[in-house]
Amino acid sequence: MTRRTNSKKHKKTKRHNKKRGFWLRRWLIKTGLLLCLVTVGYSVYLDYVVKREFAGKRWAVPARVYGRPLELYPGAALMPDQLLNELKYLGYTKVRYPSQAGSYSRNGSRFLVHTRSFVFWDGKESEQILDLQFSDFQLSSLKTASGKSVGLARLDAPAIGSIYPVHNEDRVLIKRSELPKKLVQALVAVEDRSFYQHYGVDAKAIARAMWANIRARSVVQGGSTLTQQLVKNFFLTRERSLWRKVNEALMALLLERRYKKDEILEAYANEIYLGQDGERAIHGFGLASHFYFKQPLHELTLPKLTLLVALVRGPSYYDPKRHPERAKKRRNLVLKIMRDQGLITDKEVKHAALAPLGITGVKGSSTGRFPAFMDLVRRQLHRDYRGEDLTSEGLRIFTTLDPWVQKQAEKALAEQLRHLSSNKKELESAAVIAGSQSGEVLAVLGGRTPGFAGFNRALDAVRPIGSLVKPAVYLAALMQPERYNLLSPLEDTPLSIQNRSGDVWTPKNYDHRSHGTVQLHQALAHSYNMATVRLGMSVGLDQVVNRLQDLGLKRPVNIYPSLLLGAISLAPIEVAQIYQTLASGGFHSPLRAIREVLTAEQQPLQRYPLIVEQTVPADAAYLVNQVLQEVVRSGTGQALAQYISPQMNLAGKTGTTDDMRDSWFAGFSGDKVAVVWVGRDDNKPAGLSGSAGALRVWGKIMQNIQPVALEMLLPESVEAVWVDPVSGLRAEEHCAGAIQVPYIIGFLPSGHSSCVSKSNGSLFDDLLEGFFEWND
Amino acid sequence: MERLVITALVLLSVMLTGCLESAYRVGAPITERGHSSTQTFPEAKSRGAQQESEPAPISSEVEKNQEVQIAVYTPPPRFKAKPISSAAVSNLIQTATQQKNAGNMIGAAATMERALRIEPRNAHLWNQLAAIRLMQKQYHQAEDLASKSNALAAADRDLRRDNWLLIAKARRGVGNMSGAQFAENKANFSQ
Repeated sequence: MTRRTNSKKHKKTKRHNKKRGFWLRRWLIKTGLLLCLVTVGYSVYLDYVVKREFAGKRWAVPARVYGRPLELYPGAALMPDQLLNELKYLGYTKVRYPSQAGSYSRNGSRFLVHTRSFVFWDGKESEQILDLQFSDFQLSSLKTASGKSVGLARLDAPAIGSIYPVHNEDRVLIKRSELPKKLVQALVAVEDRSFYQHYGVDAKAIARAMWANIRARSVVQGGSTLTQQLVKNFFLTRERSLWRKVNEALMALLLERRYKKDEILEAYANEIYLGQDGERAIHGFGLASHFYFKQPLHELTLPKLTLLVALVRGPSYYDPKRHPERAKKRRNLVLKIMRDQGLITDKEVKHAALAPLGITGVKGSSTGRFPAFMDLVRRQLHRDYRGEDLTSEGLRIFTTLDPWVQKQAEKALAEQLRHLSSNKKELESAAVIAGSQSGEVLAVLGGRTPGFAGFNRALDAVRPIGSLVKPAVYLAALMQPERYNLLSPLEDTPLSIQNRSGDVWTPKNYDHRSHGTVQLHQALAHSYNMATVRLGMSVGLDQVVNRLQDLGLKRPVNIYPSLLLGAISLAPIEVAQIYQTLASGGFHSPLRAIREVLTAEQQPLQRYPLIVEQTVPADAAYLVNQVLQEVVRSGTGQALAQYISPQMNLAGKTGTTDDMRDSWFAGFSGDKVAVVWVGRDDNKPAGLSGSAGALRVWGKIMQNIQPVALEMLLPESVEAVWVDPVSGLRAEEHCAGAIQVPYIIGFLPSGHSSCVSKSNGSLFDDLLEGFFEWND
Repeated sequence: MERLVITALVLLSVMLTGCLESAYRVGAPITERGHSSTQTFPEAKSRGAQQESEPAPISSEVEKNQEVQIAVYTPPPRFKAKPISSAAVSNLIQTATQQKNAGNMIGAAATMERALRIEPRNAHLWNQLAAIRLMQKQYHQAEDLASKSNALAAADRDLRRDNWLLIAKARRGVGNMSGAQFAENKANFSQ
């Protein structure tokens, strides 16, 4: 019975147990299902994240900005130093014989340069070995290595910066096929030996790492695969937690399921963080190669490749610029591991381990070497492109910057400012240099410290321009040839002008003297204020403003009489625009910093063409420019002779504002127009006139960049005739003191000086002249 | 009386020297350029022709065509002045021509701009860029570029004429008929 009861009891318990087991099982199944669902859901979510991020972020490449490529052709005004400078900037290595692209050899004035292939807007320039010979301040011969003469070739365009987004990540995209074999071998050998075998996570490596860490009682080794490292770089924050580790492993598995090893490797090579350049983060081997060696990745030799791999473990700890010894040790360790795995020979290791690190000395700054110019490029680009396109689409932007001109100008400006400011420390300066016929901006100097990305004075220091405005006043006058010519008499005598509100303005000359009756050209050449105001008032203020606008002024101006002496505030680049129009004889070309834009796939996207607009008649522009040459020859710009031979016939104008707060010089040669401002940021008197300050900088810049002489062609409607300078009457070459003066045809002086009437050839001369005028 | 005769003689000689002078002036560019052209002087023309292409043997020409028509006045063929450019620029001009012929106007313009960077004061390059802009129907640019070419053309009459004709077409393109007429007159005037 007891057994029965027992059994009953048993049965009961069994049933009870059964019931409990059933409930437990159901609970377990339910929870399991739920867990499964959550896990699957989470995985799907992670998978989505992986897919989205991998496909999207992978291609976020900042626009890369290039300077002008150096054009090589026989007869080019190029010096060996200039070529050398360019090759250095481009990271060409000097060798005994340039068998590899990106290298050169030199023997005196002869160079062998193995150029790199490079895709320009108008097509690809293939790599070739060029034989260059210099003599007489020019590139005298250009041939291929086999002796075939070459008409024209260009070097690759110098990279001058990139436009990266707010999170300051910069990279140069590299395809899997472009990754050097030795780099991949080294990377796999050092970071993830079983990369090609595992599914994203390497259990053996984790175990090994844990064992090593336990033995060392600290984290000495990581068991992360390359895939895990990529995931960490790609999606995750820097926090260290188990949850993150789990996530990392899960995503690594998902990534491996979705993408091929090569795709993962490519993403890794582009994503990996390899250094810091101020605010700019250096990502990927492509950019790191340019950043550390100034060479494209495929040109790197074994020691340089292994150095990059060495950096993966800790770019700041092994920073080759700050800790060269550490970096070298780590690099040599990478080499040793490669040898141990049979990837390279003993000989290769020995050779590579002895090699220097090969870091290029140029100290990087976060905004590149040409922050002021890049600023201009960015502003011009933002008119046409969305910010995210510039920072992520990998556009290639070809600009007009001439690194050589920029460097020479920086040197000149720094040197001259040192001289000028021995006791005036706060002195600042800015300059803009452009091609006079093309409007291409060659160099922008935003301040006296080159490479310093602060206040860009060339673009943003809006200051009164003083006498730089005067050419517009005289242009307005000379465009009324029935009233004015170069010899027109002007009164340089005191005057007072009352404006509508009753204020009286009494302009004074710089030397506080009155010069009496002067000729129009003298008044401009010597920058006489009173004569200029009288002339401007008689021509009309509105006319002067119109001429300023014709010359390229965009900013609205207040039309006060003081405008005639430069009470109008402009930035140096705006002044450069005005003088560009004069420099090209009345043909206005909007200043451009960008030539072309290519897509990441090297396809032409956009071009900024050369625009030419005749806004000022050639004859009046010619007459004004004649006087601007006189300024340099015998007027306020005479001091230029200290820097440049007067035979260059340069034209220019000085400018000084009240209490010598601003010192300006603007002018041009046959090929370049340049503007220099010197003053103080706090707008206090700088104590320098235009000729004592800005002119010295301008002269030195021009001296350094070797301009072309200014030879102006007589426009069709201008004729130069001999006149008696005192009376302004027609004379002849033989007459004492006679000078040749250009006039606009139709407005030649009518009377003849006594010298002519005494000679007996006047009738025939007139006949001859009539004949030729008719014949022309 | 005697004075009158002398004056007349002197006047006559002056006119003649004038002619000679003008002849010299027109012909001058030939010596400078090697293959400029003129309309007035046959010797200049043949000299230009020799440089341009092989001169056809005249005798065989006459044998083939028995009937030789002699026109009262045949305007001498115009030989376009070849620009004096460096090898570099000549290469680029060739490239630009190929691009133009292939209908790649933007490419041709870019190539001409590259040439202009090398020789910014070569009037022929400005003229060719103007021609490209005209083909693109960018009339204002075409006109201003041709004017720019004129400003640098100096004594190159052929180039001036070509520029004025180009300006005339550009002005016609924007419906400025009187301006076009004026430009055409200038073209004929500069002949």
